[in-house]
Amino acid sequence: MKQAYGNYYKIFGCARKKCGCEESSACEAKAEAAETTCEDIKNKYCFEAADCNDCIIERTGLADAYVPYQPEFDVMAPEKSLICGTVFQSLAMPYKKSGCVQKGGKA
Amino acid sequence: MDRDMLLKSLTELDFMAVDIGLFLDTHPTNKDAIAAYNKIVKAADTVRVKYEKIAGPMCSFRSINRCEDAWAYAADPWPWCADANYSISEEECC
Repeated sequence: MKQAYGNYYKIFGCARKKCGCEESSACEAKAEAAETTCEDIKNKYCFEAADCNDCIIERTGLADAYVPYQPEFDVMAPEKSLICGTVFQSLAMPYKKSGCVQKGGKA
Repeated sequence: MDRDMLLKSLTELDFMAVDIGLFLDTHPTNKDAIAAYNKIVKAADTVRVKYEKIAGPMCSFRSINRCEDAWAYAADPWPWCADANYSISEEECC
């Protein structure tokens, strides 16, 4: 987790690397209870998901979604349409366990 | 076709009509889609009439009540009952 966020911060250069521990007066007590040091707690928990979300908003702002226009009218057979949850071959993306979701009903 | 086959066919056709209708929301001048939509709606209506002759009315406000001395809709499986729906739980999209 920390590594993943660390890479994100490295790429986007976000300055927000604070964690709850740094701002909490109870840090020392937490560290003592966990039989470790405050610095160790900071290293472990300084990349909370909330911070990452704030970081993204800070860097890019809130996003608009863009869905590409569907160019083709490629209708599948009735039975396959119902099973796949879409009439359109180009939108059939079955989920395969431990695999990738692929377009066109192929996995 | 028996009741289950008619229900399967109707479920498929109604689903297709909904999905093509969604397509037409964003492609309102696509002639192929309009033709396919009309064809499917007509086919679904034909199947619906056949199904209702065998299994009773599907809808409490749109279906004909063929039995003249009893309200048939209340005696049919309710829409949320398994008997009123075609299951695709064992099927896979591939």
